[in-house]
Amino acid sequence: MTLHIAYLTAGYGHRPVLRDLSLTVAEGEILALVGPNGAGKTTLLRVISGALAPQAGHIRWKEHDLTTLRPSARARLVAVVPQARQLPPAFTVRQAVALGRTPYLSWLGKPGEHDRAAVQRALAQTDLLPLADRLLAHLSGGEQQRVLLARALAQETPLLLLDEPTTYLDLHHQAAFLRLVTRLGREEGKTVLMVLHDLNLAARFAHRVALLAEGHIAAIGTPTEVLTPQHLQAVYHTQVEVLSLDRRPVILIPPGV
Amino acid sequence: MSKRLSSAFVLHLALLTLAVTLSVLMGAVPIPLRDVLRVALARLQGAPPPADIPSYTATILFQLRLPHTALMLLTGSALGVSGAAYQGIFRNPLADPYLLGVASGAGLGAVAVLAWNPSPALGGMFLLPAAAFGGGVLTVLVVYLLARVNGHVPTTALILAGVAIGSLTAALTSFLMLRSEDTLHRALVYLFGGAPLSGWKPVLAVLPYWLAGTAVLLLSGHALNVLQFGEEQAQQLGLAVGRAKVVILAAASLTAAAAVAFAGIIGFVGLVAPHIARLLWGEDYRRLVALSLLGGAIMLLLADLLARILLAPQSLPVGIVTALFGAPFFLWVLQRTKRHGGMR
Repeated sequence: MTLHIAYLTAGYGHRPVLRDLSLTVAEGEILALVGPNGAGKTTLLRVISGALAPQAGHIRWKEHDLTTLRPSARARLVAVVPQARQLPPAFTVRQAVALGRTPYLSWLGKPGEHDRAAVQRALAQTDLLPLADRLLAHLSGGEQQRVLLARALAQETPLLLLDEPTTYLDLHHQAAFLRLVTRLGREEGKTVLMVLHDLNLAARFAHRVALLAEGHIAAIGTPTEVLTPQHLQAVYHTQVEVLSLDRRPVILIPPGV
Repeated sequence: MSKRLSSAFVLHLALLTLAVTLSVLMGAVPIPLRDVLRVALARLQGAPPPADIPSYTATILFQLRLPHTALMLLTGSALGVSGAAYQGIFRNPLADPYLLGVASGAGLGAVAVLAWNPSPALGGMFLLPAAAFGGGVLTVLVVYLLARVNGHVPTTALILAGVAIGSLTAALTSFLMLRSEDTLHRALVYLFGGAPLSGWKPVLAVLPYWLAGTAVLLLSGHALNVLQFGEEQAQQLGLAVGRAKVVILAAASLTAAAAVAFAGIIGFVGLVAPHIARLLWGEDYRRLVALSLLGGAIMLLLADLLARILLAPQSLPVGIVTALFGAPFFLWVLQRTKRHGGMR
């Protein structure tokens, strides 16, 4: 195991969203975090990325305690792909991706040879080279989401966190984006944690699925183990039907519910 | 650096040179360029000024025009550069250097001194700017401390605290002004930038703050770029967001407070100079801060020139001119950019 989360409690004000949550993720693994609204999926990503300080518990990446690292040191280990919303419109694609090098640069932000190469590589991996000089305002939602992925790749971190990256994408771009993430994760040996609302995308693209409910993990395991009618009905309080396609579960809401 | 950007810098430097030259030559008593050069050359050689040039020329040049031009240059560039920093930190196109109370605090400080009407011996000509500077810096500090929640300073809380404290200081200022007609007139002139101090002393007093503040801001372009994606993403990209905000806000506020203290509260330059730079040359703060510095200086020098020659020999408060001519000019730039599709 490389990412080790133990007895994590975190939240806003006096109301903890995560309660005593423990989770371990192996190196190179792709884990999908699913669960109903308010279950704590996004809060978990925010705590791992340092955007929210935990109230108790610890988060370790190998020998590093992620909760006590300086932002720049943490950003060399953890990169986040947020939802592409309200991006600064007048930045070019290359400028935005280059900001991924921030944890390696001084206050002045002057890039070196390796930084430029990392940006170039990230642009190539996400097929953004032809768009490198375009303004973010002139990109489609799918392209903007790829820019944020490229920025996270330019950070050259072993751990990649994605927060509902497919929410604003159509069917084609959802699949294309997650295929890209999983392929790059495999090629680069990255450990990937992604929050997904769509259970079928989680079933299709993740090695393991963690089902969150009310701030703790209700079930964790392979998609087939976790995405069962029993687990899903207990957590989502709605009747579902689970079929199997290509040995992966497919979740349906039966008619008449 | 791209060709377009180098041409932007060349254009700014050319305009700045022109504005400085005009500011030195023109005024109630115009001085021909030839005379300026000859007087300056004589001064450099330690010789007396040429006999065929009126004797007051050297006095006007060295005691009035040059220091006044220098003060306007420092003030305009200070407002431009701190306006860019404020807009960057707050990610808000309406932000200007006065958002957190530098101007209202400086106004209160100045008006308090005027109302108290101390003897000129006490602190002399520096009493008013010192009170204005103190009032501006103190107000920003109070706003910052009020906005602190559990060690964090949310941007929204800062803006709201700034608005609240701004109203409070403005009310106190109005109260003090209305108590005596003499205070009212002198205060109004100060508040519109109509009574900049003359001579080299104000320039030397502003200079250290200007140097330190603009240096920090010119070097903060990358941090401001990262902050454009929001504070959470900036922190996830490895920026120490809290520290960056304090450093940039402190530098911008000190620079603006020093400028305001000596030149009066001049509106519009700090709001518009960064916008013009952004509309014409894009969002990258590493360039935007520098172009706003040059643009602010050009704007204020030209406005000041108009203020001095429009009703010569009387001069208008420069703050009135910046708004009167700056607003239509800005709208023209805005329209032009929209037509060319450069607008978001």
